[in-house]
Amino acid sequence: MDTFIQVLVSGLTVGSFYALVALGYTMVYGIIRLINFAHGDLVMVAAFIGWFVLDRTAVGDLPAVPQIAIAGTIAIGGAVLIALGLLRFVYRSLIDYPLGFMIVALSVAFCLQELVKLIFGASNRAYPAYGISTESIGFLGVTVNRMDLVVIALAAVLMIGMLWFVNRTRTGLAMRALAVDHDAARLMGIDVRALIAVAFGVGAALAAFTGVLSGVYYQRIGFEMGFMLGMKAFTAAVVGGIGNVGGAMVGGLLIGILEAAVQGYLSSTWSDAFIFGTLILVLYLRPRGLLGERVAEST
Amino acid sequence: MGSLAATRELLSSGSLKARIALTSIIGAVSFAVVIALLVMGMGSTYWMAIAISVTTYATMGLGLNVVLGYAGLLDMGYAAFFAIGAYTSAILTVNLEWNYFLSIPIAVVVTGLAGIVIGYPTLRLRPDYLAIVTIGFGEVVRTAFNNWQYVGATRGLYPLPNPELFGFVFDDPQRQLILAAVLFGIVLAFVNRLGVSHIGRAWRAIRDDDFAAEVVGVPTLRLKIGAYVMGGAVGAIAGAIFASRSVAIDPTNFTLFVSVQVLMVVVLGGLGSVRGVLLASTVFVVLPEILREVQDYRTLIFSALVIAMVKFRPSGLIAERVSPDAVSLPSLEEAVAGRDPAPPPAAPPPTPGSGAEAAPRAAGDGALLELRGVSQRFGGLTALDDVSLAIRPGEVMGLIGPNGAGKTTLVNAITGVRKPSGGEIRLRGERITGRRPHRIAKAGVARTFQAIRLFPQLSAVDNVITGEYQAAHLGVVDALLRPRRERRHQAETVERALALLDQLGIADAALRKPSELSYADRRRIEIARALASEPSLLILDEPAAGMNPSEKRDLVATLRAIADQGIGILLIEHDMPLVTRISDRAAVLDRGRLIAFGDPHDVLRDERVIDAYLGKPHEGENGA
Repeated sequence: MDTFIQVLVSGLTVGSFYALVALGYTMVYGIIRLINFAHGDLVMVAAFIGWFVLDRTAVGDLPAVPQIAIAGTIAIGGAVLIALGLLRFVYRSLIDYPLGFMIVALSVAFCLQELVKLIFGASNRAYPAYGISTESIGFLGVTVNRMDLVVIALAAVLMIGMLWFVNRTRTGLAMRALAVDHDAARLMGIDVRALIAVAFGVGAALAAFTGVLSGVYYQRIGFEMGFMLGMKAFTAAVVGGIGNVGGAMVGGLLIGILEAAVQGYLSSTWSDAFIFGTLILVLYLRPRGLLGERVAEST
Repeated sequence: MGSLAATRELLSSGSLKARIALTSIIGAVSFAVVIALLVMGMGSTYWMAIAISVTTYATMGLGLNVVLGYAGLLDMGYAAFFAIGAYTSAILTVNLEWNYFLSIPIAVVVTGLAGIVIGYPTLRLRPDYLAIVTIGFGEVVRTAFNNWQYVGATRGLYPLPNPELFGFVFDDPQRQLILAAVLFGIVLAFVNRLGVSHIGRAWRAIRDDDFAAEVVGVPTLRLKIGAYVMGGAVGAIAGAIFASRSVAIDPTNFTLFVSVQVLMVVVLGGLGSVRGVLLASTVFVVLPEILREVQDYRTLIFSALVIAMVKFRPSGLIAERVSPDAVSLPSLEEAVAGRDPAPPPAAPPPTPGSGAEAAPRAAGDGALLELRGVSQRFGGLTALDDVSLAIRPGEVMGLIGPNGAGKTTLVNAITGVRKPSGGEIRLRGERITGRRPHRIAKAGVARTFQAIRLFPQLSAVDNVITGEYQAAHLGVVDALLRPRRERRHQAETVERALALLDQLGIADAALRKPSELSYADRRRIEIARALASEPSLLILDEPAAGMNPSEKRDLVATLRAIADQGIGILLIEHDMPLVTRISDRAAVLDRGRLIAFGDPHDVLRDERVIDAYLGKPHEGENGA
């Protein structure tokens, strides 16, 4: 039972990271039906920006929470700028050339990794140790890491915010309309270009938030941390139903729990294989994902 | 026939040949670089190792080029094939002590099977899913080898024996280079032949527009799996080359990064371009060796180059020689050489519907196409409501109705794009309801699209030839091993396609790409492509849209001639004078129901029809 609760908690934590990153994939995919392979690496870039702020500047005199908040805000700003810059100067002209777009996005991912490696070096960097990251508390009769609960709570707040955004705002409604029927939504006068920018920006902000939070959580970041995280987050988006914001959250949490369960009960080395195996299985049995309404493909 | 002669003229003119010569020069230079490397390699072990490395990358590049370059499938886990090939060879030689050369065919077969297992479920989905699934596949394969004790898990397999053939041991770099070069040569011949064959053309059609390819009769799923598996098999040979010169293999040789590097080689070289792949793999391996300083920035530089290449020169270093150069030209020249100056002794090129092929088709028990109670519902919307209708051979049936009446939905139901929710569709008595589009095309239904869907990268004549894929009766074996039969077939099909283009009055456009042609000419090419499948029923979705009066007159004459060959025509058209002029009968759809049917003049006087057009407007549906 102890193991079960611990697996569940750490699964929900990792799953929260996946879910937040999956939101970025699914929003962009819903609008332009393309995969931005560099999205996962924005997490990594933001983690490094956050680390840089925490490590090199005067915020060190403040208590932990404001410190992290400042670093997080700067990282989010940086990531949003990078994402919008990439959209404007690299991606935009390729939206009508899907194969080219995806190849370029993949290359952008590797460029970001190499640039970070060039600037910060190839070795891992350590986030400052805050008491909060290691403190354990009793929870439902078992001891869990308090930071797990912080991550889950923060992610839950953001996810509720995202659900409000897509369900209750005009922009969110337009996004959902595009995901369901691209052509009809265009004819209704939805400004696709602006929406793409919103999806890139919001997605980048969520990715950056994830980056700094995971830095504080794991206390260790490296230039390779983003790509596989991104791939698993995309898997989560597909499992939940690509283009569906709620689906990305459900899928993220499920993938996180699956990973924690495989690591907890089987072997840590097999977890990636299980995740991608699940992806192949879901695509085979239910290609629209758990919450997806249809496979957006006919003529 | 004047324009046809002009086309032939063009084929022997200078400009085309000059273009081909230029690309050949670039290709020859890249070959020369490779060969120079090989020669240099004879002198130094260091350069020999690099030459083997170039060969390995080039082999992988050629394999991925089949998948990505020819068929347009984004495989991001190509290293999985490389890994399975190398491991299969290593398991057989190390654990089972087989001869290396016997291990190669087994490695190819095992890799091919893995390709089928992964390709079959994923290739029917949206193409972008393939990218993620293949990344996952690559990781699963690597993880499996990483944990599998039988193959040494993280330690890998060692020592790999030196390949041995009848007592000749490939134990030094020079001999291993020769072995690698021989295997590479086999692969090169293999992918080259595939590329210029009828299969290569169909792959490019799929790459350009897989939906249109399926509808004109190309079995897209089978061909995609074919590309994935054959590309994978080439990866297995690259794996075998790798195993032949290595002391040990372990899972770190087969990371995602390897897949990405091969992807870069193919994109930089030029999608679909064999010589581009050779040049790019040489640059990719040799450049960091010559310029030591760039070694640390290799990934950064090549990633940036890929971005720049896709954005500013998507065709790559050496553009793929698509049609007319590669695919059609040799056979086109042959066709011309075979025909000119004397006319052929045999019968004129068979035109669709004429001759033995079509005669039995036409001679049915009356109805060519029969719809019985066909319905199509989308959620709560009834797009087609109990439509029954029959078309006779050689008849032109006009299908009219206001926008959103369900005309295109009906065409989609007939052609298998969307299976009807109810009812039955028979072609010459044979039930075709719910078959896949390419099967229905094979059964004898051809169509054009309301919004023209030609293959943009293929010339007009190649577009037309794609339409007769089903009639080719050629397989992979022909593509690979029977060059003469394949060439003769190509010559015949080119000749037939030219005749069709000539019939539609656009033979002079044969070698142009669709983007260079007028709207009306593009429509004509689409009709020619539909006719190329030798259909018994031709469905035209607004063929006169965008045509001027004289073009419309030509169209009427052309359609009459087609119908006179015994082909039934279902014509969707908004131009009422044109419909009454050409149709034998007309059917009127309104809100999914057939509201009038009969002589076109009578039908247009029918009160319900007038109401449907002039009555209170109603909402459009997804008739597009």
